[in-house]
Amino acid sequence: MFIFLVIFHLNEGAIVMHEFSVCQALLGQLTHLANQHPGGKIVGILLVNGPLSGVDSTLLHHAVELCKKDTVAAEAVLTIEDRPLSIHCRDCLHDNEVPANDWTCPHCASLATEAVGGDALILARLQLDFP
Amino acid sequence: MCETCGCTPALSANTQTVEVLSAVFAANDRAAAHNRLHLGSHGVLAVNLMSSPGAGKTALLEAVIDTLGKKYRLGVIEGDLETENDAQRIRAKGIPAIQINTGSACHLDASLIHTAMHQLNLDTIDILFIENIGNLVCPAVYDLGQEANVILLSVTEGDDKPAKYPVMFRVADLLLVSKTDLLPYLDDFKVDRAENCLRKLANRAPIIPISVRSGQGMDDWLHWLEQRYQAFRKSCSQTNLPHDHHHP
Ligand SMILES: Nc1nc2c(ncn2[C@@H]2O[C@H](COP(=O)(O)OP(=O)(O)O)[C@@H](O)[C@H]2O)c(=O)[nH]1
Ligand SMILES: [Mg+2]
Ligand SMILES: [Zn+2]
Ligand SMILES: [Zn+2]
Ligand SMILES: [Zn+2]
Ligand SMILES: [Zn+2]
Repeated sequence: MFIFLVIFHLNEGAIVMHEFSVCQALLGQLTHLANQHPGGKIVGILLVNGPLSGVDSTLLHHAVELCKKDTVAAEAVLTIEDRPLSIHCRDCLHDNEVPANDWTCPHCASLATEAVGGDALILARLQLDFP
Repeated sequence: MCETCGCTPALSANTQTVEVLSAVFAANDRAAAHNRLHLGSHGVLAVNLMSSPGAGKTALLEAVIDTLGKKYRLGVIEGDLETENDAQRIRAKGIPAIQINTGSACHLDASLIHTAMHQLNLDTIDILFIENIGNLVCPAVYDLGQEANVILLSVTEGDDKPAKYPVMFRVADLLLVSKTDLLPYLDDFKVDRAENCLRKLANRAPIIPISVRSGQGMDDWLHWLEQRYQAFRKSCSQTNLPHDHHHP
């Protein structure tokens, strides 16, 4: 029911479905972590996202808010930090931030580059309250 | 942040910060590693086919079956729901095909592939094709345990697709520019421009213009496939994996 609502609002059916499935993976990970810290309540979640993760931060935020009820994250405040793509150049050895569709090294124009950040969705940090 | 004014309340004395730093897709990556072990121990080359809906994945598979079906034992995991009967089209040619019922899902993941894989007799398969869901974004970020990603870009789609969908095109091990028989009717698609966009993603994958209608590029594509298969089999025999994978 709520899924229809979101699709209606954002008009991006497939993508919304995607962020819901990412949300399930995240909640699975959070449940696992909560079990490792018995007595703790998750009050803060920090995710770091980048343009090559295939996940839209805004849509993921919506999905988590809708799904977190009755889970270990029910009372958690979610923060998603968006980072740009950063690449390492194997020719000049510099690291640089670049647009996701142009990995040309801004320093030496080489295309012998590789992603070193902004290519994944990372669960960076949790805050737990021990009442 | 607090709801009313957006300030950040000071942490109470009994709040603990836990550094996690793990990928949200870590569970999928673990499942994919298991699949890879499984496929490797059976010497099965797994090829993940990705594209927009209708770029020609199933038609390409049919063409491969017609030309290589006698030389190699092929298998197909069908994840695409574009047409209900993709798996039936494959089975009609005498090739084992497992249809994954993804419902309205937008990507395949490693655990779906694992379930499908165990419905096949991998000892009777040399090359396993996975036809992914027609979508140019998220299928790319789910490792399935495949050995290679083959991405189809049809000439009806526009040559700037790699620039618009870097998430997908950066993972290509081979780019097939499909339906080239239609190029005479489409003056705005230039293979060079598609190649340029791909290179700008620091991706040096080979690009083969191909058409199942005219047969253009089929030899090059089949040659690429056979080479990957030979190289894979060689690496399998060198590592000599014992087959004792077990399920987590
Ligand atoms: N002209 C032309 N049409 C093709 C070619 N390959 C596939 N098609 C057509 O494109 C449509 C979609 O093909 P299909 O293989 O089902 O695409 P899929 O969704 O990627 O599996 C069908 O009508 C095919 O006949 C080709 O090389 N040339
Ligand atoms: Mg198909
Ligand atoms: Zn998806
Ligand atoms: Zn450089
Ligand atoms: Zn096995
Ligand atoms: Zn298994």
